Amino acid sequence: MTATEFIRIGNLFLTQLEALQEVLLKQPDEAIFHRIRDLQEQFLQNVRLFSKSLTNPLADPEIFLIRKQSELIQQHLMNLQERIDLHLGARITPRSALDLFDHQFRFKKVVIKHLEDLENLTRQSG
Amino acid sequence: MLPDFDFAYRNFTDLNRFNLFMEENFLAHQIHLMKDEWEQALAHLELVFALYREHVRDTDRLLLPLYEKHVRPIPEGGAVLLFVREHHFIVKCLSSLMRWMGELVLDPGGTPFRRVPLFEEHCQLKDLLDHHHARDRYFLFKSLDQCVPDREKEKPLTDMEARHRSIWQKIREQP
Repeated sequence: MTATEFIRIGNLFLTQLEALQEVLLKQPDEAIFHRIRDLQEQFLQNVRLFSKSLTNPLADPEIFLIRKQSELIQQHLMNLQERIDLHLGARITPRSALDLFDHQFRFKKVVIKHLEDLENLTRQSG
Repeated sequence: MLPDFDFAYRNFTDLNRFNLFMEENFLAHQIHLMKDEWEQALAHLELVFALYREHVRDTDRLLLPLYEKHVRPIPEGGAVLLFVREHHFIVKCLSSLMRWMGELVLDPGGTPFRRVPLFEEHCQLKDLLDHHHARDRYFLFKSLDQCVPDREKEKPLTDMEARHRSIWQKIREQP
């Protein structure tokens, strides 16, 4: 997977996630938790796939940073999935929706920064 | 209906409950917003805003002067200016939410309402509150309890108790 492809996938993910979050905050139920889980799982697979293409990290400090960001995103995503599973194991309430949303907020900031850095790097390298 | 609260402060550490009460009311505000219950959402936000302004007044006029007078050395991470600066940001953020909420209640059809950007603003505020309340808990309240002589503790605590209770009653009795 190329960086350009991953940037497109990442931006699409953020847009789709925001649409699901709007539903989460309007009508929190099991169905929306599952839909978010599926979308995040799909993105996790793409992050892993792209991460494999980031070779020779120590030779290039910029790539090293991107790789570390990618690892952080994967960690965030796995934590989010666990959190969703925990909530799904109990009754879904507005509080559980807010808990998920608040954690997604921090995760989204990391993704946005990663995509920006990746875009700058792609632009620099032509 | 706004929740009850025990306003009896026996020591400064008891003010942690007051901070938690504000956080709980902010959460209640969010939950009412999720359910499109504007009036109730506004009531909770009004309470948070009024109590928070009172907290700023308490800190600036009563607690920080006592802190500067009795706490030696001022702990790293507990500098007076940090409290003042964070208050400024929190009040600014709450004022902006209050203005927007007022517009929504007055004109629900004409006020743009997208939950995600609004609740992301809330996230920033909640993170700031969390950070600030930790500073209150670990530096301000704890140091005041440890360093201020008992004879100087009673008056500020009873003053705060009376004013907090009066604000809560006033907002609770609003039609």
